[in-house]
Amino acid sequence: MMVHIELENMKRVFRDGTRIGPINLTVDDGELVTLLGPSGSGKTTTLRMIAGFIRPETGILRFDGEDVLDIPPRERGIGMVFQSTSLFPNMNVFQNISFALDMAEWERKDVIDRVEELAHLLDIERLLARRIDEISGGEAQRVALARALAIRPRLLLLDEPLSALDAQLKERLQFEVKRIQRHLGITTIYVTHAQSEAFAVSDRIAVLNDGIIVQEGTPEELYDKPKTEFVARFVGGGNVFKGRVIESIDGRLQVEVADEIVELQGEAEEGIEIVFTIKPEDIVCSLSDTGVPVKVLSIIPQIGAYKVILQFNGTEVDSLTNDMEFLRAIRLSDDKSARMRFKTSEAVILERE
Amino acid sequence: MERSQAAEYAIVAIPLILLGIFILYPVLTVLLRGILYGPGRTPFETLESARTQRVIGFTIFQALLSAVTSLVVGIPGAFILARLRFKGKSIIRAAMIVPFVLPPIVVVVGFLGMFGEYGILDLAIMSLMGSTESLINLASGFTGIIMAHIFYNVPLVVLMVSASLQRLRPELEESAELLGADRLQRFRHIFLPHIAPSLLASASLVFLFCFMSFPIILALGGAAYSTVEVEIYNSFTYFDYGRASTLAVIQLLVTVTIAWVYFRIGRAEKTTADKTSFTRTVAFSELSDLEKGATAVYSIALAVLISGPIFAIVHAAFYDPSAQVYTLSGIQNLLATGIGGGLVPLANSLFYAVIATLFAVVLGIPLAYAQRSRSKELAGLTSFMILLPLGISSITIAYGLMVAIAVPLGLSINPWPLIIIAQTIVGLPLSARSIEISLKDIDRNILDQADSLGSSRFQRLFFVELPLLAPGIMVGGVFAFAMAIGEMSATLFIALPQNITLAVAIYQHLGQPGQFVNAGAEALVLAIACFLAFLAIERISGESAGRAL
Amino acid sequence: MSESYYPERRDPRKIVAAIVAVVIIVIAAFAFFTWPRPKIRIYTYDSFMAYGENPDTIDETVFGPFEERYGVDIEITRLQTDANGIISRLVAESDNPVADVVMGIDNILILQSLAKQVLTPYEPENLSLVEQQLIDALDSEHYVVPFDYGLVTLIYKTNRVNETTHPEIASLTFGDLATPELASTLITENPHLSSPGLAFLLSQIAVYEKILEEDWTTWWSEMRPDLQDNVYQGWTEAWTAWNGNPSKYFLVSYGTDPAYSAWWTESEPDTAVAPFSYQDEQWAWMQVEGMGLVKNGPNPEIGKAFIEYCLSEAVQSYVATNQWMFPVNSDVTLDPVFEYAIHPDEVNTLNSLLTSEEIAANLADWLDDYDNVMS
Repeated sequence: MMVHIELENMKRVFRDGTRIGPINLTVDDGELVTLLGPSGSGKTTTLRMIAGFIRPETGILRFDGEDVLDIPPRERGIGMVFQSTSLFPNMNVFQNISFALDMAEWERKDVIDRVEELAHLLDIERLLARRIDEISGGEAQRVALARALAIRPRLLLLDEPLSALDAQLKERLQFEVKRIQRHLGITTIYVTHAQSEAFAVSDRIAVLNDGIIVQEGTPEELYDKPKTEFVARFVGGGNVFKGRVIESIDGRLQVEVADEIVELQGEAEEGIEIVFTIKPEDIVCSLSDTGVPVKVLSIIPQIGAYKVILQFNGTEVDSLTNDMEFLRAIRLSDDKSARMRFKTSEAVILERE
Repeated sequence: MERSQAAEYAIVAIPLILLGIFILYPVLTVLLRGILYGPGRTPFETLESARTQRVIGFTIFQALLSAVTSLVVGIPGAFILARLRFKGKSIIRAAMIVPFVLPPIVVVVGFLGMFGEYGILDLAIMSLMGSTESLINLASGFTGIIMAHIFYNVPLVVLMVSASLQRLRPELEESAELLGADRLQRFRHIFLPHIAPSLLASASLVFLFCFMSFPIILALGGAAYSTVEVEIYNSFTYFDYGRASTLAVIQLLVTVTIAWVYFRIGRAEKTTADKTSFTRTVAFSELSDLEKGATAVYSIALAVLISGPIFAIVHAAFYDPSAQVYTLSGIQNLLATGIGGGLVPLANSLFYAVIATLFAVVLGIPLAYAQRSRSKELAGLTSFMILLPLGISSITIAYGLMVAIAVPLGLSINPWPLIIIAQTIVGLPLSARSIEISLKDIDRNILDQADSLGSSRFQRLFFVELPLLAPGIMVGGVFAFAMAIGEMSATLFIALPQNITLAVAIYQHLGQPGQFVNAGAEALVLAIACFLAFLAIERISGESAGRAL
Repeated sequence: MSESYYPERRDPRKIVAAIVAVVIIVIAAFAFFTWPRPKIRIYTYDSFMAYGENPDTIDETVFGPFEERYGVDIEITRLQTDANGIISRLVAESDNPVADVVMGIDNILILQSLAKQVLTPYEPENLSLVEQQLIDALDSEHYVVPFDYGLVTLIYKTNRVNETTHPEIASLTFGDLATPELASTLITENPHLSSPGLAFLLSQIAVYEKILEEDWTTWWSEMRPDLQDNVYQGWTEAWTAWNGNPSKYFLVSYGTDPAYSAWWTESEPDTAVAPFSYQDEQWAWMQVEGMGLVKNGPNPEIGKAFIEYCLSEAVQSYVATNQWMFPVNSDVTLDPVFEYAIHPDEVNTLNSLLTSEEIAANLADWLDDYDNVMS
């Protein structure tokens, strides 16, 4: 059970003036695509248009090549999970999961088999007889997922399903969602505002801003090659610099950034302003004499590396390092001055927005 | 989406059309006919007559007096309920709804039994003074009317004002205290501005109820005190349709104005209110001696006024004041058939009220949906249609139903369907309101979820929406039942002898020699039914029941 | 796990269908059992023939023979109202009348033009059983014909008022009632809503305008402070208040009340009648209650037969001790207790002082004036 989804120029303007689209997006059979964006970027609206709760004013929505805009939500073959799990409070866990099956008037025995199968898959067998107010938030999300999957939808829509959960639980469930999606091979559209969550679960990510998709690609593509400043800040490391190209020879650029000259790889005309981003792990701090002078604002230990926040030319720059010597020295230093260098090959020149 | 929306509009249209047929059409028919063709006095003659002017003046005067008195009596109670910590507070708060569900004619019996001739108070004073003749009668005439109105409305004021007090943020009061404001200044500058909207809202609601008051005035006022509603009744009876219609129009103008004020205030208060804040409370022991004394005297007096008549109903069911003996004859009469017997009215009451309740709920559900419709026009129209019966005299509705519906259909020989319709109309505002409150609380996502899980509109309604609405439906149904079984005005007007209900039987027995104990027994049955209804409301919805008011 | 472990979802359609079925069955059953069979419907007021020994069976006793003779069902519908309300109901139903005969329209009410609009004149063949004087007193056009009659006057409690305590009782005037001692002891009825109340008002107007030739409203303004709270909506309410309160001596009521009292107590009555006394004559208002044929009623022929039947002794002999009025059929022998009652022949009727035309023309104004004085 899977489906190929195409959104073509879907557009809608709301009474309050907010507008969505035009949105063009393709989701392949069995793929998990995430709509990622800050709140208000239109990702939930896009999802609700796919579900059929909101009708676009123009554009086409195809499931396996068939236009579904005139088909009501319940006939589109979708399963949906919301952030507020929206479990039916008047039913217990079993009845919640079996809801879609009962609506479709399945045989009682098949219903039980299917519910138990899903309960097993999601490890919630012991909850089946509980009332909704007797289960925890994480359990509720599992139940909601089981309920959405029960009728074997061809498309699964997940709207910030894990946002209300605490960090640890969220991480575990991300993995679960991915595992189950893979296991079932169901086409899935996932909405979230959290970059880490998107990267953890997605095959492909579409980044939304102000109602349009600004970039789509695999997590790696987005991380390594953000196209715009917005994507670089929202998805990548967030280090964005502006500078003037002084010299451009054979794909090597000399760029002046706030009176300092840095060397980048790339093509650009001499004399123009460019915007570029460098990932934190490609920024090297040291106490040596080479590189541009910066000040260290703070040091945050993270798993696998230390994040060093630097001040450069009035803006903050993130850097990742494992140079324990440097860290020790800077902790002892009074004025916290250091030098910063780029691994030149890793800079990405961004499109002007 | 569009297709199912059309179906939904159709479902909403049905109750609206029914309301049009059973309220607007009959009322407009009667009013227009009455004003244009009579028979009876023209609007000009009616307004010119000194009697009409006096009646309108008295109606407004007694309603104003009742409202002001209810406020004055109720405000201390609101402060006590909001600010004093004491045991059983939640029970007291819940019990405040009891008067509201008691039918007016039952309250009349309670008042006569408590404060009337040979009532409990009278008997107590008689035995103190060693007299065998009645010494005191507070239940008739002007005093009786105002007291009965206070009985009804003080709990309303207490509930509304104490709710407003509880929304007052304590920081405000505390900072005023820190800034050196004394008590009076704090009341003047902090409390008064804060509770002013609720005072005005409760005052206008009390005014509205008292302005429309019928059974109490009819039964306690004698011939000396007459209000617009009573005059409408008399004018119809005396076939002065012109005058009845003119009075009904005047009444409608006043009620619409007051209702408009009430809703304006309601909107104003909603925007300024702070819902979730802690209220500063004090324990009884923290009060000064003077305050303790005042609180105790006030509470006892209020308890006598409110609970006295309720207990007096029980007393009245077993005590025959004309013979001055305790007897079971009233209870026996409940099961008696024949003229004046209680069995037929009892069966009628139950049958009519149960069916009317069902109708009120079945119609209330789509109307509640319509009130929450995205279309402002539809929501407004629906609210107007639902609230209309509160502003139109039920006598006019009853007469309209007779002339416009019953007579052409030949139903006037056995008009019980009309009684059910009238009782449905009376219960509908409360049932629709309760259901609407429930509907407001439903998470839109849950409904979308049901849609995405493949439920049809019908399945979603029955498996998801109605179960979620169930508390609201139950509360609404119980309210509607209480209103229906206590309805007297329209039923009195429509009923033939085989159709009378307990409420009407009580009224008739009150006017007949030696029948007070029968009225008492019948009132007790109604009071018990309404008390059970109250318990049901409490169980289902806890403190939130008052929201439907 | 077993199937029964999980709760099963009930099909709402079945539940709804079941509820709808039950409701429909209940309503249908109620409708079936209460639906009126073909009947001759008589409209009257709530206390019609209600004061006898067997009010529950009186209809069967009195009208049963007629039902047998004509093979019809008679239903006496006692509307929960007074006589005015009957006319009001007939007006409301005038597009589609369901009643055939109306009983209880008195000689004041018939003066309302609206009353004649809902009735059809009919002169029964046996009308000769009734004295012409009564027919004329009610309605010479025969829209209604007399059924019973009696006097509306004051009654008083003999244990409180008698010739020893109050010598003026033997020749009572309105002026006597207005004295401080007696003014507060009177109970009366609202003339708008009650026929004895209206009769009392007309009595007073007749005396003051025609005998004393004074402004009639002055008496009411004198009485107002004491009387204001003692005006009741109807006779029943007034009687209840009067009976229950020893400090109320006088009641505007019927001349047959002492007979009624004697009948039930089987002893000397404790009430007596006080007609008014002017010009050495006794005066009281005569009320004649009539019955008439409803205009466009469904069964006019049987209605006519019913009116004739009601004039016969078969019905008239029950009037005295059930209705406590005098039967219009003069052949009927009265029960001995009626010795305690006062018969219209024993007094001058105040009706003779006011012509029908006068009443019809002035009634609305008089009522307005009364209202203005009394409030």
